[in-house]
Amino acid sequence: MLVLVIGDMHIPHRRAALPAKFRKLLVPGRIQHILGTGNLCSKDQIEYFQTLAGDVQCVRGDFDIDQSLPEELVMHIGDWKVGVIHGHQILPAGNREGLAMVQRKLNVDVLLSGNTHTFEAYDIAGNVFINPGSATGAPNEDGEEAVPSFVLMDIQGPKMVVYYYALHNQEVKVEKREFTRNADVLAG
Amino acid sequence: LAAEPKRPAPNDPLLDNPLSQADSSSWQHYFNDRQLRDTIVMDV
Repeated sequence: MLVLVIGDMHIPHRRAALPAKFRKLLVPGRIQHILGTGNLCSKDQIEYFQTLAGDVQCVRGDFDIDQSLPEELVMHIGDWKVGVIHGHQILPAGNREGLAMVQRKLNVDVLLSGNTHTFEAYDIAGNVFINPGSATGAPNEDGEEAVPSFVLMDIQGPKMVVYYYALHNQEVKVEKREFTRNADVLAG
Repeated sequence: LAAEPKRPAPNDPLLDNPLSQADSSSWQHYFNDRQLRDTIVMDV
């Protein structure tokens, strides 16, 4: 099962569109779920994602105008319990203890968040934390330029392969990391 | 026809990633096979 994790696009305020090389990669019929980590920011982007996958869900970032988007999402995908927040609620941005607190509060195996515009994928005691970075490479709150990136999760039972797609000098680079679900979380 | 197309074992992530459209990519094979199977199921 393929799950696209994407966010912090800041369209149209900081960037005009998703990079063409990324749009070329994202073809319909491959991805089952798209999870937005917020700040996409326009409705057009959500409509575009709906042409790629049947299930599109998105949380609200601090620059999203649409008040109907939820602050947080929790869902089951395969064997995994997945939580999504934008991450502006956590100070300082991207703080690992803060994210771990949210992960415990939502009681999820994997917490997806954005806000920092920097890719991260790590696990702490079997709980996985993923930040897909900014899909457009929009500058973050401090005005620092970011590398355009997104994440694709391939969920197969208790195993999850995380593919990280980044655009360096107009060239798409792909990295891969594997995680195994912590069996205690769902039982507890 | 009931069999699932064999899932690829990824090697080089640049080539063998689920969004790869390269001919040599096993993911591309997987999606082509699945599409073919869906067409056959539709025809039968």
